Amino acid sequence: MTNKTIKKGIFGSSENISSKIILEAEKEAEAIIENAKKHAEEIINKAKKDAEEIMNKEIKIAHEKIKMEERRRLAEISLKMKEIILRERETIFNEVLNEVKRRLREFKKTDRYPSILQELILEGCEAIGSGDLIIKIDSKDKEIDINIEKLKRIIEERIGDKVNISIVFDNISEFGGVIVSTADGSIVYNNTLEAILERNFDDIRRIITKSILEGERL
Amino acid sequence: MARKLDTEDFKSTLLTILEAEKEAEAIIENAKKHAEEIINKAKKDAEEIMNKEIKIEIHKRIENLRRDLENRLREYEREEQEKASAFINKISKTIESNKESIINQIIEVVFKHDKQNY
Repeated sequence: MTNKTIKKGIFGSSENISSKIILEAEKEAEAIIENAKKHAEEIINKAKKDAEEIMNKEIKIAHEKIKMEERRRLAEISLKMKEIILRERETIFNEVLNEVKRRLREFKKTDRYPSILQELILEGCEAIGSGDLIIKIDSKDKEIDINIEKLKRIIEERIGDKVNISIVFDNISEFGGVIVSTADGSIVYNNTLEAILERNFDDIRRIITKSILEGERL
Repeated sequence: MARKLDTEDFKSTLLTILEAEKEAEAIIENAKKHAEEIINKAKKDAEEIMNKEIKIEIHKRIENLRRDLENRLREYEREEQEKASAFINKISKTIESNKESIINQIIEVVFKHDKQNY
């Protein structure tokens, strides 16, 4: 470029040549800056693109993690609700059972209880069989008139064999009933109302659960 | 004399051109320097984008996702609690209205030997 300028300078004024040189330099400088700006823009755009890619990747991973957490926590909430309902069902169940117990306690005070007690004794004796039998009755039922001879006769009729029965009063039950055993205590038949409740617990649970389920279906 | 003058003119012209060349070189040097600065700044900015801005942006977006999740879960839990309460109320009401029948059925099981006596 310099040689060209000098050569031209021979044919023109030095100011003109200088201006031309400066002008060309300015043009070149402008091009350099333009190129640099373009390159800078490319660098920034590439960085933005790379950043976007990295971000999308990271967000995708985070999104997956959050989705997994969401599924886990939704399951936790559902489980919590099921537990609340189960606890409530259990509370309802216990309330009904407590009401049954309250009624049984009340029933013990009625004049229908002695005949039930007699049935419970007979059932206990029948379950154990012949021989010497001990009938344990709750101390609170001492007042109830029990005809031992009549009982003995009914038992013998039912089992078709001889029995000897002795009655013992003890604190055996809150709701009533009897405990019948052989004289040596090797066989025991607990026929207190608590024991009957316990023996029939599955049936009782079924009755209450059936009603609860009916309520749920409504 | 004229020849001498020509030489002087030529010298002065050459000097002017040389100065212009020098100035041109300086202009180009400056431009190159400036261009380098532009590139360096772009590289620095790019580094900033990759190392700082992107991390802040990722953090911000994840925070938003988390906040949305918490809101959704809170809403879900509230709805489920409402459903559970309504469900429990329904059961309680049914049991309450069937209470007598349920208790009688249970007592029937207990006194199955002599249910008429009860």
